[in-house]
Amino acid sequence: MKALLRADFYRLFRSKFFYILSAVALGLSLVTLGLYAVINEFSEMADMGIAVVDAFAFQRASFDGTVGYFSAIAAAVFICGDYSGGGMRAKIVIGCGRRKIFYSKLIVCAFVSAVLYLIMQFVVFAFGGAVFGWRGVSVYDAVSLFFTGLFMALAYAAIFASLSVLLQKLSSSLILGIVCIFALNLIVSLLSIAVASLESAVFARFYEVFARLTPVGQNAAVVGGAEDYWVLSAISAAWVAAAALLVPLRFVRQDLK
Amino acid sequence: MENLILRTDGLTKLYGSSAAVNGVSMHVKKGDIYGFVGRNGAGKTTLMRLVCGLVAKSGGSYELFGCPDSDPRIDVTRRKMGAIIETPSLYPNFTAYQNLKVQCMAAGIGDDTIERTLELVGLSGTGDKKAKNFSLGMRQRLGIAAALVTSPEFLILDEPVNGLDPQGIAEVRELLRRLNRERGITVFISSHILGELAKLATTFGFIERGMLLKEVSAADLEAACRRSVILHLNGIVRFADAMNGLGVAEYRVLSQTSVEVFSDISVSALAFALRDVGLEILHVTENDVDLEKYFMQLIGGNRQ
Repeated sequence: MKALLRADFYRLFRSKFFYILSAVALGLSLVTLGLYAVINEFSEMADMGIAVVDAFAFQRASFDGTVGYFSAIAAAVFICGDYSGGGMRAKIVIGCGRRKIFYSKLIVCAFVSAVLYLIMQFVVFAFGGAVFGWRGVSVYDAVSLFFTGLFMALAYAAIFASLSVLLQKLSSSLILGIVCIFALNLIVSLLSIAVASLESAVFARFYEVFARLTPVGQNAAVVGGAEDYWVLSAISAAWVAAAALLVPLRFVRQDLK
Repeated sequence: MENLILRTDGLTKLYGSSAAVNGVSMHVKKGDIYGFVGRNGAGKTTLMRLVCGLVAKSGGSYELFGCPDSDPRIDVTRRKMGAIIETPSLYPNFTAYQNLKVQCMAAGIGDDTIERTLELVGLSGTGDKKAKNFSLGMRQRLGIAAALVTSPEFLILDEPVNGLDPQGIAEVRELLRRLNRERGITVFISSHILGELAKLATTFGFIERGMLLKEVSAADLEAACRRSVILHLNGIVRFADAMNGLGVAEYRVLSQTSVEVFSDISVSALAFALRDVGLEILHVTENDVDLEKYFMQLIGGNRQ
């Protein structure tokens, strides 16, 4: 396992996609920061000295699902690249063991997602605080939200690493991953519209549950003001545990091309 | 008891209802260079994939170094193996050295064998050139290097000379011979270039439609493929006297009027010698079977 991790990290740190995704994550976060700064500057309330966006609101806004897309891309490129190059085959042939191979990939994908998330949160904490200020924001809330996001990033990594390991093909993994995020976003949006317009308690309950079940839904829930951070974190951790337990059962029996 | 590196017993792989490998029982002995012969789609690659653990079997079993495939220690046993299946396993954006380094890291061994292995396959001077810029032949060599860098005892090579020029093919042949002779590495190799296999292999296995038709040693195959002439005569009385006169010791009586002679002696010399003992050649058939013809006869026989 240690040997596989060394090999996978050696490959990761020599892969352009990791640095490109990190740069894009940083760039997007800075652009978002700029946009919110402009909103604050030109809003009607600014004249009255009231900020529309504070650092905590900016932190919530950073849960826009970008980490999900990045995780899908990173897992597909890293894992399917190993399939297409024959690295996966070579590891199995020399007896590295499929379970260990999967866990190694899972850890590397989790590392990439966490790094991308941390880059985005670096902008939130380092620049967001300076630009918008933390006045009146609870440290507990900010830290809890930070860890909720970290768990969500790990859940994304677990889901997309599993998808890539099982699908094997870059195009299939990328398309299915991105389509899944789109579809879940759409469902959550439609549900929230239905909740707002129908004002049905049953619908609202359904939305509450659905929005918390997947990392995509959790993003929407956090942006919408959800505060049950540790429940969200626990659900994300459950995704990681499910991937770690269930995917190897299938992967050990899977035929490799 | 023979020291078997690989033994399969009724190994089967089904895709849907069709069998890509159908009840194959084969035996690769320690120190063998086992030439695996079969047409495209005959099941060679699927069988190699099964043995390498890349696809799940549908039936039967196999043993590697005496370890059954059902044994949890099979993964540890695989550490004694190296393989190229269809295409070499390469990271296109890595140099030759980096490719081998990843392989060493995954295997949990040091990288002190890398330079030696690159030299062995003639890639020591590639420096910073990335594998994606390699020629087909260089990629093939790098694939062989990747299979060798972990110092395996058993090499599985599926079409390893694909894309190599004649000089490259000869070099790989020599390399495999050397590895077999000097390091005692057992080689299980398939190739479409039957002439190459004939020069290299010590044992042959013939597969057709997923079924192993025959396993034969190179010596037996050579005997079966030996050049001969079949003489159809008006009789065979005193035939032995004529052969003794010519100094031909190897011949075989096929019937009361036909004899097979294993010798490079000219037909006219045979005719004169036979005339001296009162025999007349009615007609002559040359029997010149090489590996390719042997294989074609074998699969032809299977079809009937």
